[in-house]
Amino acid sequence: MSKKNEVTQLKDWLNTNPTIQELKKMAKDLGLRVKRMMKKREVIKLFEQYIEELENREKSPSSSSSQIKPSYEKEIKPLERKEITLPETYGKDKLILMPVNPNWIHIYWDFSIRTQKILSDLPYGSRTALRIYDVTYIRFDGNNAHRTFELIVDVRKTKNYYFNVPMPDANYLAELGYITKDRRFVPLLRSNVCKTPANSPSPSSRERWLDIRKKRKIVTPSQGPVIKEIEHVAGSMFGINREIIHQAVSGEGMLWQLISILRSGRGI
Amino acid sequence: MPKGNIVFVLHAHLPYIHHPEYNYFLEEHWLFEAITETYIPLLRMFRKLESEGKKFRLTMSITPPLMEMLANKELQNKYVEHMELMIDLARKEIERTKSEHPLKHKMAKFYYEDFQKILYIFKDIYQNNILNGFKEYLDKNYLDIITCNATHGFLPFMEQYPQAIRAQIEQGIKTYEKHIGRKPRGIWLAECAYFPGLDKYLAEYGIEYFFVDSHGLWYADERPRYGVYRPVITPSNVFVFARDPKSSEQVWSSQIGYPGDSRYREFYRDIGFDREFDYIKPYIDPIGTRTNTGIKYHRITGKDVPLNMKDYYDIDAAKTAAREHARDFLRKKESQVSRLMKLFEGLEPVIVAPFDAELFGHWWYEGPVFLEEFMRYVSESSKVRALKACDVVDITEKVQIVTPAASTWGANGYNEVWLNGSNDWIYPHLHELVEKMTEVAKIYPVPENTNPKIRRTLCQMARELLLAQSSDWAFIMTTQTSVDYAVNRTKTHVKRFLDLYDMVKSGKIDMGRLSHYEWVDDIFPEIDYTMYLKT
Repeated sequence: MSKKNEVTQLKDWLNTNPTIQELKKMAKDLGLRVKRMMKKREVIKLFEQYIEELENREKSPSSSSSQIKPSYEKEIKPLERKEITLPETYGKDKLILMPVNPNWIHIYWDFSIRTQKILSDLPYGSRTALRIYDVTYIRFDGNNAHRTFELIVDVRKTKNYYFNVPMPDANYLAELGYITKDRRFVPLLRSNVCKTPANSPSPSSRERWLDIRKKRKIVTPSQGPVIKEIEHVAGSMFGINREIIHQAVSGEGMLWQLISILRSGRGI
Repeated sequence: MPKGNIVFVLHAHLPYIHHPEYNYFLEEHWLFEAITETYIPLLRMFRKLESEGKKFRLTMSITPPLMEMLANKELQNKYVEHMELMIDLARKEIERTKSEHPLKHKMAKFYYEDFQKILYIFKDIYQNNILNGFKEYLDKNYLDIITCNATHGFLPFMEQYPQAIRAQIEQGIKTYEKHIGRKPRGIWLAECAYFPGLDKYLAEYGIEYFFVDSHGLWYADERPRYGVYRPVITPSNVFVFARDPKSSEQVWSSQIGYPGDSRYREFYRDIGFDREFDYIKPYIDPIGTRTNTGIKYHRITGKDVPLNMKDYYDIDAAKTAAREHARDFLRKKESQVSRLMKLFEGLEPVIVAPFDAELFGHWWYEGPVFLEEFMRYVSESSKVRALKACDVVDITEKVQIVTPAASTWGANGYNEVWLNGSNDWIYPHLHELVEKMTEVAKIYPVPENTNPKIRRTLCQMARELLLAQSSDWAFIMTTQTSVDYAVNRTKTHVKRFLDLYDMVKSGKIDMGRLSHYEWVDDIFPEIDYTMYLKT
């Protein structure tokens, strides 16, 4: 469609009061940058800016294309213009645990062709599952975990998962496998050991000191810290602060506030 | 008389953004804005305090990607062009604002002069490379410049790959040495992210100290007697400083922090968005996207005041506010120190206050004035003195041995800013890349005996891997700003790496493609891929 047409059509369409979903879809189709949390009026604002730009382009004789195209497009090597798709699999058996925070662990997996075959040929009635073992202070032999947690999940359809684990400062290890009809767990992959971060002061009653000048180590019983620090209770970054994140991103709040939230550690 | 010590740490970092294939690239302006609003104002502050004979002491990390960008000739030239354009715009604004409002007119004149001075400092004093300025103040002992891991990669997510951790640290040190001409004594770990065991690698490379967030010490394996107010040492003999939560909160809590004062400049009202399109067009993104120009006429006015209702900005009132806040901050530090001294029975407390450097100037326009005034006041205080982190290391005689707890300075203190539903998809790729890099490095363990084409390909693979590892991409995905760019950068580096990997494996090196990648991803020219052999 010609630019003039596009402007009128777009204006007409906007007048039909489309829903936020329709607005977002159209904005995406037009290549406008829609953020997930945008409110309706913000998306409409995007359209208004887009229309303004189209109209301005109309006025400027140098532009002849009907779309807003980067003036530097000719400089771009063809290599870079394609939508990049990354491999879905690397064809290796992999089960990786990563700590998110003291109570959450992330796990992802990938399969070799052999494992894929086993999974697709599972005997009738069996289900795939993940097991998480608490292996703090032990060398895991498959049977000696302090606790074992099981989660039934179709590992063929998903690729990763977040686990809520009970103990901070603990070592976890995972296995991926399947459960047979007679309730037997058959492990296929075993993960790395992942330690959840500590979230409370150590119960240790010892202090070790280094005398730098004398190059001597001293071990003494601890009286506890001389300062009674005030710890802050952690909230969820995706809960209470969401509004501020949203405000800062949309330009209504202040950018430093956003950074201050995201870089607040546990102390602020 | 013993005093309390304050260690101010500014972490200067930007991800490596250089697009030689474009004349204009929006995200390159992140660097330009930081030079104009943060880095040069800092240098200006150093010069001023020095000329007044004021003793100031600061610790700064300048990350390897930032050093590489600041030293990059092409980016330097692009910056000069950008500033010339902005000076031209500011000149027009002087005319334009005459009839608009006296405060706008006052600021237009200010910007015109200020931009000229900044360009003069950039071009004439430092010959386009402001690293020379920072080095000068390092040599004069005012500054302690430390390094960071190579591309600001998030090290806890490399825990199962020692070679990836070593490569990040080794390249970080090498880049520092190249630009600064000596070895760094300390390191700022990307995102302040530590996990028990990381100290061992730092010790291997001769790093003397690093920083953790407060809870890194609070939840350490043994309780530190002096909390976060004295450094500790790890069993591998590396000093650790921990952030003072009070200083952070006072300066930049999103609720009560100084930058929220109504007299300060409003970040989001910029003439790049406010002026009519035809007028501003030559000064914004050539495709017509409105961008910041750095010319802003409004003040915060009030937190709940909508953008279109903001009042005009008066730089003199804002400077008064910054002075008041600096004095207030010093008073707070003095009383904090008095309390701590009593508890410590005379032992000198060390208060560590780390911030993103870009808070000072870029996000908080008056931040450099605050810092300068604080350093001026502190140089006259009888209770508090500013020290560099390395000074503290040098004077410490007895230190507690502890292993800090896993921690970061991200929201809630752990890893969730860099690992959540918005960015978890990147890690299977990043981990696989490390495995593939190690695999091919093992095939060609001696660079001198390796075919030069293969060698170049392996080196470029290492660059793509390091660039993909920048924690910035995951961070941006979480903030939901510039997400497309961050996603695209991650995908691009992974894709280029895999392309190069296929070339090495097949032995068929596509020289055109390799040269192209070397040109567009031109960080760390001296890189040595064999660092991935250190497993």
